[in-house]
Order: sequence, then structure tokens, then C-alpha cells
Amino acid sequence: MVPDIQNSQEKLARFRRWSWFAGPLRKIIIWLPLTMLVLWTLGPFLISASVSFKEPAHVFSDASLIPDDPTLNAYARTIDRPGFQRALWNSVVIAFGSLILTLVVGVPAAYAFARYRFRGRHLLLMFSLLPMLVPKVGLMFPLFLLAVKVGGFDSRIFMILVFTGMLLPLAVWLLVGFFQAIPRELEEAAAVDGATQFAAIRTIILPLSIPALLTVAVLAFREAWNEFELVLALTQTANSRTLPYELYLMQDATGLADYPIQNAFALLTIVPLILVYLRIERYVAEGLLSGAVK
Amino acid sequence: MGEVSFKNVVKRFPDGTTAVNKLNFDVAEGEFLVLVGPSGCGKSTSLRMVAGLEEITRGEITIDGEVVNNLTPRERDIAMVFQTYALYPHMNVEQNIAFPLRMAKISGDQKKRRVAEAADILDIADLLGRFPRELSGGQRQRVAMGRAIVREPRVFLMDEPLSNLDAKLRVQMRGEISHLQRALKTTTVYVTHDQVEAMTLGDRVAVMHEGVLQQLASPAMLYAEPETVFVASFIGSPPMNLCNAMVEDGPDGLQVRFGKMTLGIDQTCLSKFPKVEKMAGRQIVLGTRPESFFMADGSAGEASRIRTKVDLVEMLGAEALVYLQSDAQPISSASIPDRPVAEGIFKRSQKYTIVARLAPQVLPRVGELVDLHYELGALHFFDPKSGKALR
Ligand SMILES: Nc1ncnc2c1ncn2[C@@H]1O[C@H](COP(=O)(O)OP(=O)(O)O)[C@@H](O)[C@H]1O
Ligand SMILES: [Mg+2]
Repeated sequence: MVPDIQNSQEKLARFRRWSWFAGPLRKIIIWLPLTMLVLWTLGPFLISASVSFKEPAHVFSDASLIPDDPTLNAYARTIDRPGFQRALWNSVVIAFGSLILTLVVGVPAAYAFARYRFRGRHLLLMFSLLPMLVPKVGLMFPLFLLAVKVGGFDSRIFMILVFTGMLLPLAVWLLVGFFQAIPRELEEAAAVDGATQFAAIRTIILPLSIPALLTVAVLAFREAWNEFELVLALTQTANSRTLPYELYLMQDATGLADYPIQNAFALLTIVPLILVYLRIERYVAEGLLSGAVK
Repeated sequence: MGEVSFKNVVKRFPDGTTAVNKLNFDVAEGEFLVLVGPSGCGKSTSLRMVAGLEEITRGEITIDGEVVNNLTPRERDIAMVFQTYALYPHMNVEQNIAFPLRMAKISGDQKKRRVAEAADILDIADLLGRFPRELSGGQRQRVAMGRAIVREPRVFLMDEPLSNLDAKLRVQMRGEISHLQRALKTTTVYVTHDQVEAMTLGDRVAVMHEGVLQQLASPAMLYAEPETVFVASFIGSPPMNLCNAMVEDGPDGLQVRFGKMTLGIDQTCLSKFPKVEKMAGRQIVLGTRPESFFMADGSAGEASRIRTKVDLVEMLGAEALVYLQSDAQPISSASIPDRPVAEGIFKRSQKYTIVARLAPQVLPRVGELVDLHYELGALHFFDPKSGKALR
């Protein structure tokens, strides 16, 4: 017994010595790739931000990352542009419209796929995922023709419908998995406790699915907000143009390359997205399901 | 309020499994009925059919005389406690217990009062603000009970509510459930695979096997007069010894021979098992209760005495299990040809032994030849083909 204990204590001590030496090295191994990753992703963003705070004339003369005399001039000019305001409003309408419609259609569809066995269920599920595989460029022309035919060309509502169609596969796919992971017994308990099926979905399934619903909402919002090709194909006037398209147009419209305003515009375009991400991350991380059933 | 009847109830799943076969029984108002049987025998399915969570393939279930086959769970006015408790993880204890009231659109003061009452009864008033994940197993169990009692339903359904608790807590909660049911006098159908739980809780116990009701009787009757080999082997711990035996005409009237041992069949036996009288020269299944063996003293008559060698002694403290050598072939319900009465509950060894439960004061040693006395009134006889008691 006694030698054994001594032996194991020695081992422990040796381990501690070893890990003390390994400490700094390990830190480098962990931090170096992380630092590189952050620089890699943040670098262009920082440069863009830097340029957006400069006067157009200083972009090349003042090459430092932190401008010598920073100005909000470019932002003011961006916001003043009627094109920007219209496009911002269109983006908001189309992104939220698509998000809401995606949830309104996706939640019942995913619930049915998750909870009911019906004939052709599997095939239908596969089929609903198919659009994810088709490249968007391949859809541009057919959708354009369709839009013209049904009178949906240059219409925000038509775009909301198109985006929802694009978003649904991913939404349904995510939600089906999530719904299936919720124990059926919770709904059965609710039924016995006097809930109608609709009430059970509203009071049990949806609250438990908040992380998944938010994930879907964020993804849908982002897709709709950033979409470019389809906006290009389906719009013509400022009545329905969104921010990415407006940004693209502006590069021509400014004649001389006005880098600060372009970058200010780009940054203003992504700020809402970043705000949404920051708000929501907390909820998604919350493990709401723990303790449901042991 | 709260009479439940099964009338020829059959449940066949789409995959062809017949989980419940022609179930017929009534649960009286206020009764505590326990459904017991080995895993997979159709207990949960039966319960879920009462709750409305499983469709009834054939037959009828009625509650208070009303056929409920086509009613939704909501319309049946019953409450159920699940094995996993199925507490709503995003609601705290108070909201969990209040949920049935919320669904019944009961709100305000009345809701508050009834939740408080239920919490009081179950001694969880100080946990109302907690979430299920912050509760121990026993506390979750209580919350699940609270959610069941708060609405004062016609019937409680409980599906193995204690099986996720550790042994000690299980015994404690068993007592509390019993108390609660007696206080509330609500008809209760309780499912368990544990025969001890069944015997201690039930006013009556229904033993199920392979979807078929074997016997429905009070715990005392189940123990004293098991109707089938399956019930005999399921109720009691250790279970009844069952072996192949032969009824013979002996020098002092009928006797039963099992291997080299014989025991007399006396008048009490014959009055309990009248069919044995005509079985002389025929094979039967003999059942002996471990606790009906005693060390023989001088007074025991020859007819009730056996002599055999001790194989193994297990000392349990207040009693001892003595394994006696026997050359009679043991029978499990699986050896009964007429299904459904099956499964090898106690095919525990190939060695042929008979278990006796003896007082620990005078114990035989292993290998020793002992004389034992058997209480002849506690002999059981079964038909070897049908597995039914020879009454
Ligand atoms: N949804 C189902 N589909 C097919 N078979 C099932 C289903 N549910 C239960 N069974 C089968 O029915 C039988 C009885 O099950 P169950 O009532 O859960 O048994 P118990 O509760 O007594 O352990 C088992 O053989 C089980 O495999
Ligand atoms: Mg079960």
C-alpha cells in the first residue's frame, strides 16, 4: 500500500512539472492560430472602416490605419442619399417579410415532418431540400420570366415570396431536427393536462424551440439582407432595390471612385446584421432543454 | 366518479405487434388498481389507451359508463404521471403545476389557491420558483404528482412513476403515494414491473403477461391462490418453486412425487384443488412456497416431511435462503406449451434446486442432509399443458 501511494504521488508531481513547462508553449499553440484568424477576418473590415472615416482626397495620402483627422463626412453623405434611404427601407421590408413568412410556413411544415408519419414523408422532405442544391445563378432567368409573367417584376412582395422559397429548405431542415429532439412525452403530458394540439405547440414546442427559431430567423434575415443576384434579376427601379444592389450601382454613379462613401455605405449595410447577431447569441447558447426529462 | 372499464380491448400496432389482447376488467370508483407484469407485457399501452394517447384497435374503454374511444385526452378528464415525469423544462414548478388549470382557463385567485394547496400537500411549497433542472429526482416526482392532483381529475394514471428513483426514495415515495391516494380517494391505475410495489400499493392487482390479463385479485389472493404458473412465478420473492411432479396413490391416500421426494395431499389441499383428486398417475406442475418450509422437529408427520441435501445457504439476516438439492425438473412458465403464458422468469440455473426460506436461528450447513417440514395447505397444483391452477 505505502509504496503505491508514494509512487502515485511522484507521478503526480512529475505531471505537474511537465505541465508547468508545457504551459507557455501550450498558450502559444492555442493563441497563435486564433490571432491569425482574427487578423484574417477583421483585417479587411478594419481597412474598410479606416477608409470610411477619411476624406476622399486623403485615402492614398494618409495610408495609416487610424486616420489623421477622422471625419463622419462619408457617413453623412451616405445617409443623405435618397437611394440609400429607399434601399434601406426596401431591405428592411424584404428581410423581415422573408423572415416572418419563412417562420410562418416553416414551423408548421417542420412540425408535421417531425411528428407525423405520412405517406411520402421521406420523399417530400428530400424534395423540399432540393432547392438548396440548385445554384442561384441558374434560377435568375427562370425567376425573371416568372416574375414578368405574373406581374411580379420589380415588386417587393414577389421578392419576399422568392426569398422565402429559397430559405425554407434550410429552415425546415433545422427545425425538423430540433422538434424531433423534443421528447414526445412533453406534448403527451400537455394533452393529458388538457391542452389542444395547437395549445401544446404554442405553450410547449415553440418556447422550447426559441434557440432554433432564433437561429433560423438570423439566417433568414442575413440571406435576405445580403442577397444580390436575385435582386439584380428581379428589380429595376429604386422602388424595390435593396442595399447590396444600391451599393453596386453607386460604384458607377459616383464617377470618380469615392472610396470613403463606398466603404461607409458597406459598413452601414452590415451594421444591422452585427447588431442582430450580438442580441441573439445569448439566447441560442442557453441550454433550455436541460432538465426536461432525466 | 372515476369508474374505468376495459371491454375486450385489443391493441395492435401497425407493425403487427399485438401489445394488448382482449383485456377485460373494471376499476371501481376510488380504487387503487395496479397493473403489473414484466417489461413489454403491454402495461403502458393499456394505460395510454385510457389516457387517449394510443388508439384502441378493438373493444371499448369506458369512464363512468361513457365510451371514451374517440375522445381526445383533453376530453377525458384524467391526469397522468409519466415515468420520466415529463415536466415542462421552460416553466418553473409553479407554472408546471398550474399548467392544467391554465389549459382549463382557471385563473387568478382560484388558480393561485389550488396550486398552493397541491404544493402544500406534496411539501414542495418552497420550490415553486425553481425550474425542473434545479430539482432532485424525488422533487421532480413530487412536482409531477402536483401537476396531476391540482385539477382534481376523475382518474389518475401513473406509469412506473417511481422507477427513476433510488431504492430508498422509492420506498418513501411509495408510502406517500399510497397515503395521497387514500386521502384523495381518486380512482388510480398504476403501472409497475415491480411486484413488491404492486403488492404494497394495490387494492387489487392485475397481473399481465404478453398482453393477456393473467389474474386480477387482491394482493393476498394473488399470493395465496395464483391462477396460473405465470402468476405463481411472478408474485413472491423468492418466487414459488415450480417443478414437474406426479400425483400418486400412496399408502395413506393421494401423494405427490417430485423427483425422489414425496409429500402427502391432504383434505385441505383437495378442497382447494378439487381437480387433483382425479389426477392420480398423471403429470402435474407442483408449486411450493419457499416460506412454507420449516426445519422439521419431532412432531411433524411423515406425510409433510422431506429429506434432502443442502446445496447452498444465503444468509440475509432476518432470514436465510436455503437451496435444497432436488432431482425434479423445474418448470418456468416458458415450459408451458399453451401460450400465452410464457417467459423464463426464473430459469436461473441448470442445477435443480428448491428454495426454502428459513429462520436463521438453526441453520443447516452446506452438504448436510436435512429433514424439512412443509405446510401441506400451501401446496399448489397446475395443469402442465394450460398452466392453469387445478381448481
Ligand atoms: N409504438 C409502438 N409500435 C410497435 N410496437 C410497440 C409500440 N409501443 C409498444 N410496442 C410493443 O408493445 C408491447 C407492449 O409495450 P408496452 O405497453 O410499452 O410494455 P410495458 O409497458 O408493459 O413494458 C411491446 O412488445 C412493445 O415492443
Ligand atoms: Mg412501460
